[in-house]
Amino acid sequence: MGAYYIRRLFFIIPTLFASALITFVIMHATPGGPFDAGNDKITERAKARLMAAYGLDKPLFFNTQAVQDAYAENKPFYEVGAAFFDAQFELWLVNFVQGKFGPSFRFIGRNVEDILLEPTSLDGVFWQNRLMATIILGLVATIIAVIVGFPLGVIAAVKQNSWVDNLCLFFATFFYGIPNIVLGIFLIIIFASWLGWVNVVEMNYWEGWRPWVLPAFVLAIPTAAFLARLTRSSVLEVLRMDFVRTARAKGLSENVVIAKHVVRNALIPVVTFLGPALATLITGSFVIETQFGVTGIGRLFVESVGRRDYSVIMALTLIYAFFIAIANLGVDLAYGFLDPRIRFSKK
Amino acid sequence: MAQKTTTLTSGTVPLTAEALAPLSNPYLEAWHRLQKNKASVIGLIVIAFFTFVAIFANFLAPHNALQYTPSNSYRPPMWVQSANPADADDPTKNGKIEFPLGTDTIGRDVLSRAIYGARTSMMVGLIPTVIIIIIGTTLGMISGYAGGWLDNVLMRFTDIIYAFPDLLFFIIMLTALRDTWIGQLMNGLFLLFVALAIVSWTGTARLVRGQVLALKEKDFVEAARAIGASPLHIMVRHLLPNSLAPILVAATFRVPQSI
Repeated sequence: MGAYYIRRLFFIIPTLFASALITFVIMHATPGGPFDAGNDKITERAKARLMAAYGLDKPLFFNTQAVQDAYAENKPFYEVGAAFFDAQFELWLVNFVQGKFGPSFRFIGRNVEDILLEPTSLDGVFWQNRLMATIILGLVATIIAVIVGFPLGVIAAVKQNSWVDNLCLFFATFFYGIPNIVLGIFLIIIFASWLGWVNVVEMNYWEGWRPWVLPAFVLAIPTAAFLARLTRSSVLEVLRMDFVRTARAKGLSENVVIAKHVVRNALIPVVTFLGPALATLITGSFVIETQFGVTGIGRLFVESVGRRDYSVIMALTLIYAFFIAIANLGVDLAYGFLDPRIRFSKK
Repeated sequence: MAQKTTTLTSGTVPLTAEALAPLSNPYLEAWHRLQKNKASVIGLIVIAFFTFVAIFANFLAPHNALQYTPSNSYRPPMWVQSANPADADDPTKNGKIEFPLGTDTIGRDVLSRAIYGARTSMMVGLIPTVIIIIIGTTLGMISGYAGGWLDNVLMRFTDIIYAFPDLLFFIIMLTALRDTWIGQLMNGLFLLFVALAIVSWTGTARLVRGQVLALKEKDFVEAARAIGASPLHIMVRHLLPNSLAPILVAATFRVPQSI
């Protein structure tokens, strides 16, 4: 059994590679380049020199021109071979394997890893950077979503068709229906403007827990709503099963039946959803980061797509792919604990 | 969900149509349950109303939703009337009965635009959802039931699609295929549906796979296999109905998300 998960861990490498390859192809196929956007009028010559300086004038995958040149100059065979791979994707890959994401095309003169890991707090503590800001926000949001959504779903199912159930469903549907951007503005008006509990204008996110609450809450709401509905339908299904009747018949109290027999069996869809949801949340949200002024990577990503900042797009997609792969591995591990009958290795 | 079935004993009961009919039809049962729930009935009415509006948009809309009249822009809703006599002729201060909800920045009727918008929104909500559910359920079912290397390959593929930069993909689909016949189909909406569906089936696939992984070890699946049911039969008749609950929840939440 353990061997299966170790093999799965190694499968992350080809997953990341395929992810990188597809993103690379799509990114370069998208019209426009990093130096085309904006109103800054640069001459063709300056643009060509910029492209050359960043290696963007090279072919994407295979440099046949360089091979011909090297061959014509009678270079040794290994140099001819190396010239074939003197192309953008291979150069990126070599950098990536060394832990370098390459230079950003938008923040001229800075590398992607510096942008992601540069401290954004005033005292410059090393972990207080863009990446961590988004991860913390996502983690807090996930925790809120689970604390709110899961019990709500269980209660709604146990008291099916009662007013409690209707209220839970109403809240779930209502809050899922409100766009994040609207909910965020409402909460800012209520908690910052009227009640004055948080200051959203001059917010320093690295000072205590207060600034995190509102954005994390807004981020958590849709997830919590979906979680509540998913949990409810899953619990409802399990409640009708024979082993639940058996558990009740042998005199267990209702609480024990729910906690020990029902919830555990209803967890499979919940866990399936939560794994990727966690990965999605900790890679950020453009709307919330913009609205609450969090310097995180969600906003960075959308802006990079708009400006075709190739290295940032690649870096953030791979970080996301990595989180997704890890999260889904975790989900599959959890299946084994929830229902020991689930076996991945062939019988 | 418990499905009631009848056993036919042809010796004692004459095989009339009535006797052959199942004791209770699950669809009929669901319909009765739905009628009892007030919230569902209200929801049904709302959906029926919007479907009606969407279908008959060209009869219901008072104006052409695309026609613009610059001199008629920024008109407030019809109940807004300026008290100041100096504003009597200013279209931006006075509502008009012909434009019940006012006009937008270039003078198009907001009500007509909302009515035509119902068409677009309903299609964007429903069509990609159907495609997503079909792809997601099929892949999830195969992956969960087959297991082994096929499961591994399909799920790693799902991981890749999960991490796909959606935004980039939409941009490239829409720009690359804009001038082809696919891009022109349904005013370019078809392309949008396909693009949405291609990147969004992953969650459903994983949900279904999770359900199938747990279900396929259960006794009734074992029993079906024992009597020689084909994998396809087991998937469609036994695993699908039993994993419907999360699929339905995912589908209902997919609709507003697509819109």
